[in-house]
Amino acid sequence: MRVDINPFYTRASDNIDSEEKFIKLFSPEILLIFKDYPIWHAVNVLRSSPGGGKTTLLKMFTPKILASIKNSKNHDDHAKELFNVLTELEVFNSKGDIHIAAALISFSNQYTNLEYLNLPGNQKIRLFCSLLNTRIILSVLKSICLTKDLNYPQDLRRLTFTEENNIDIPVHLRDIKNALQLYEWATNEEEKISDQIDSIYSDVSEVRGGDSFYPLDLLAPSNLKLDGNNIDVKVVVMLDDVHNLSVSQRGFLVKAVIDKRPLVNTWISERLKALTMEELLSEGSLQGRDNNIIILENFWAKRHVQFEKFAKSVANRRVEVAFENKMDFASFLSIKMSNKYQTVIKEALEKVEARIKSKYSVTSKYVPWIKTTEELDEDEYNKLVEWRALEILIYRDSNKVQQTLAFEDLEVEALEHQNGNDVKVAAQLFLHDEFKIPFYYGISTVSRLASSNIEQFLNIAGELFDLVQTNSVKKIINSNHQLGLSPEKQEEVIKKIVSLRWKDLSTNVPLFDDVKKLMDSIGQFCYSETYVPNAWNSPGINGIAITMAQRNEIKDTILKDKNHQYYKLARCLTICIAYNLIDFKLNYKCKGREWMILYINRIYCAKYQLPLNNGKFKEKTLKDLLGWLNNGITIKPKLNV
Amino acid sequence: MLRWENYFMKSGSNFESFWKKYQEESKPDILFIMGMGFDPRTNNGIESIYSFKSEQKRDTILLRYYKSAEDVEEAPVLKVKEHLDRLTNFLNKAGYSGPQEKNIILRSDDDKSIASINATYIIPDFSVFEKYSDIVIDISAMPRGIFIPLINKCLDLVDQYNNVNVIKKNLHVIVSENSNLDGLIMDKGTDEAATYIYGFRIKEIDKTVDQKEVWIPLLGENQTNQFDKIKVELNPVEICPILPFPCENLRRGDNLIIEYQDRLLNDNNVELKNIVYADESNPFQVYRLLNGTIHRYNESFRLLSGCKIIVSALSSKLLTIGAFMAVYEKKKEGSNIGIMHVESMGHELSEDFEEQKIEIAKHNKLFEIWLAGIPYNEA
Repeated sequence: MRVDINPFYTRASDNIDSEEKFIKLFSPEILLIFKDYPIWHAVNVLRSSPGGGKTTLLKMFTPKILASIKNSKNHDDHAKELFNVLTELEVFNSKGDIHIAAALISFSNQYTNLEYLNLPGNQKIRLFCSLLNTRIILSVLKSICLTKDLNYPQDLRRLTFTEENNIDIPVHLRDIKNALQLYEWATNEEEKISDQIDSIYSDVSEVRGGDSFYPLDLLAPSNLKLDGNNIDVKVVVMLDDVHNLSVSQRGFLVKAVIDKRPLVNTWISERLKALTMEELLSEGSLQGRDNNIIILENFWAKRHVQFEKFAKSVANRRVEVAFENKMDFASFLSIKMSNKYQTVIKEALEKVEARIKSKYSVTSKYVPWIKTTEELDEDEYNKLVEWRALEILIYRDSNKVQQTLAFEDLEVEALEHQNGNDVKVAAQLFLHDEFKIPFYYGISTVSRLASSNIEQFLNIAGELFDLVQTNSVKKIINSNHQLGLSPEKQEEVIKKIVSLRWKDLSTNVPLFDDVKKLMDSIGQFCYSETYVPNAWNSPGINGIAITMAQRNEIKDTILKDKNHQYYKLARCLTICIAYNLIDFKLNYKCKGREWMILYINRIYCAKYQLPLNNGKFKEKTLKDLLGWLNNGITIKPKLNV
Repeated sequence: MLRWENYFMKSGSNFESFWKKYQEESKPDILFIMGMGFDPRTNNGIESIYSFKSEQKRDTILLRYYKSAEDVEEAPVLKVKEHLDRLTNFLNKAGYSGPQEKNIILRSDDDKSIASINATYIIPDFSVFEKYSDIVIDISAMPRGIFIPLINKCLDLVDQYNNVNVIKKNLHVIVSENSNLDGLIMDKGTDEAATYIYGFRIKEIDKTVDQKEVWIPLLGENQTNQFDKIKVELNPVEICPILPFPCENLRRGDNLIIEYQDRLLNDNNVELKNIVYADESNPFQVYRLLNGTIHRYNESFRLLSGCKIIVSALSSKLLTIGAFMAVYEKKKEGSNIGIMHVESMGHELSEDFEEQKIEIAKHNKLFEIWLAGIPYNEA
């Protein structure tokens, strides 16, 4: 086992070998996601970008984790909290017993290999279904044993099947009387199919079993008896990493499961990149009465305050593991400018103040405004921000005519109101641009940079915590050494991460040269619209929008015609969405029209020096975007102070 | 006794003298299988072996790599075209027939790696080998994900034939090694996740669920990213790193320990006493050491329902061949053993190469590894 020098790098979904450790790192806030869904009465489709927390969520429902929570709830407050949340979700019953038997099955590339073997198509589907069926059978049987404290596999003989006529099981399984016989058949079948898939010769013998997922009915609680009695647990099958399947396998599986309306509660978990281009632009097209489409990032995007709380909780759990006592991670991320920047701030303050006074102190209307700002009792940095905000407001006021004209041309609406704070944020951004005073720092910034993705948060927080740990060693030698990180250090680390991530994209993202050109154009466009003297769209824009009609055209026409002049653009847009470079929102109503908003993923906002707040965008046509994709963008800076 | 306890290997000037003498005396009919790439060593092997005039069969299978099926229609990059032209001219001048090109598509339409599956199918069955006495596979311009499954299939076919025939077929692997040049070849990114090479997946089924994992990585320079991606996929109870020693640069092993220090020293599953040192220029020694290591782990875990052994070759092609031989043999014996790797998305030569290419070429050294056939006198 790797020693967790920095526990921020431990992923709960990784091979954590102790249930206690998994539970310790698990924050219950994420379970809120299920509150609004009838999860036990439909197929659940869980989607997110990599690192959204899907596997961690599924793992929480597995028998060993649940047993550990049950056992430690009386002496561990955190386990008790989890127990209560899970009881509300009916995972534990009123007696406190585990009420679900969940089998977690991950897809490896073994299934994908099948797709590319020299076999007829129907044979590939049969092999795929047969292998998956044996694994569902074995995982469910094991899960039932763990949940009901049975010895696996010996006690499976106590588990029998009722004779349900409506269950479509293969003929060769109809004589099986108990679960032990089924287990013995499935283990042999699993080995045989695995050997066939991995054989270097393409002489696969005939596979029995057809192309249905019969265990999803066969293993329903209503069809099982334990010692002749009804079994009082819900059987759950969780299919994880479905994105590892080939496009046709995934399509077949998802459709078959959803169409089947299986008696066993079934979950499908996959990355967004697994979706077809059409699905990507439809935000989960399969949503229906019998299935719940849960997109993790979308859940958090609407609840940023809750996400920040969740992220803080996740971070604090890891700090506790590292320092063995409770400390607030946010306290390490100082928001007070260090001494190094005091001189810069002082000089900037003098410059901005002098600039305002020389231009506007002759206008009587602005004299009281200037006086009020002069009298503010704030530290130097906050004073500087106030002065810069004043400069924006005066500029706006003195250019009202132009401003009105500008607004007519723009489609702006805040999704979250800043209560006047937005001008201050714009002022901070302008100061960052003009005087290089840090802007990206503090816990709120780090959680916003995560773009609602918990792994993205942990990656950034982990790099920052590395330095905190270094400081903790230095503190042993010098007790005056501070554990926390100055804003400039935080910003330096954040910008380094952004730059490394961007570099990684070049090898991971298809059509990266085109995607980069499009992203850079959007980023530069947002930059030019953010850095304008009146900050009309304060704190700035970090997204563009196309009409829903154009989005429908992409989905229904352009993506279906490879020769369409907009095909490459449509492909790049879907890649941006699939690889989490762009977050999007559909059907946003504004000025009597409906829009699809494309926001730059927050972490890349730092690359283009954009604000991290959600909400501001500007409309663009597909023609504009195609021009950017083909020729890039040339925009002159508008902020000339 | 180990299959390759006694072995046949030649290198440097002995490589040329062996092939000259062998062709003069044994008059082999040769099928030469090689890859076509930007690597400057691409044609070294064939130019060396086919330069000896012979009336016997001299056929060539040339593997062309394409990222996707769409790329097949595109013109090759400059370096590849140069090598292709050079090979065609060479075969023409020598009076041999031109190469039979076989395309290998590396990625599927949905961007999944299919290189090792397609490499397995290059030689569909034994009929390809029937006309020849010797099959030579030159891996100098073949990535790991291609040459391991290719050699695996060829060796298996040759073994099956040799087991029931008196006249043996010979299988040779040759490689042009040059550590200076290797240092100038850069990865253009790696696959998202580590995967088993096709044909070398461990058995991960219910019957083996209790078996613990043992990981044997052969460490090489600039592979920490691959190391991490493989580690994420595994949950080993023991890690047994293999370092090169003796080697041309005597500090190479130490440098590697420094490069991997966080990964080796902060992991409770790495016992420093588990580190195995293997001669960087002798794949048979790697094979022997690995064989012994695998045998010991299998014995130790026998009472605990056995173990799964995962080998990862992050080092040179020579050492990789050694690892392949050990895994091939142990898999045939029934061990639950596999090879996991991270596919590279492409390679490129450093810009510094052009300035140094003449000096670098002086360090090219051809190796002959005779894997199956006459020397082993299989009955």
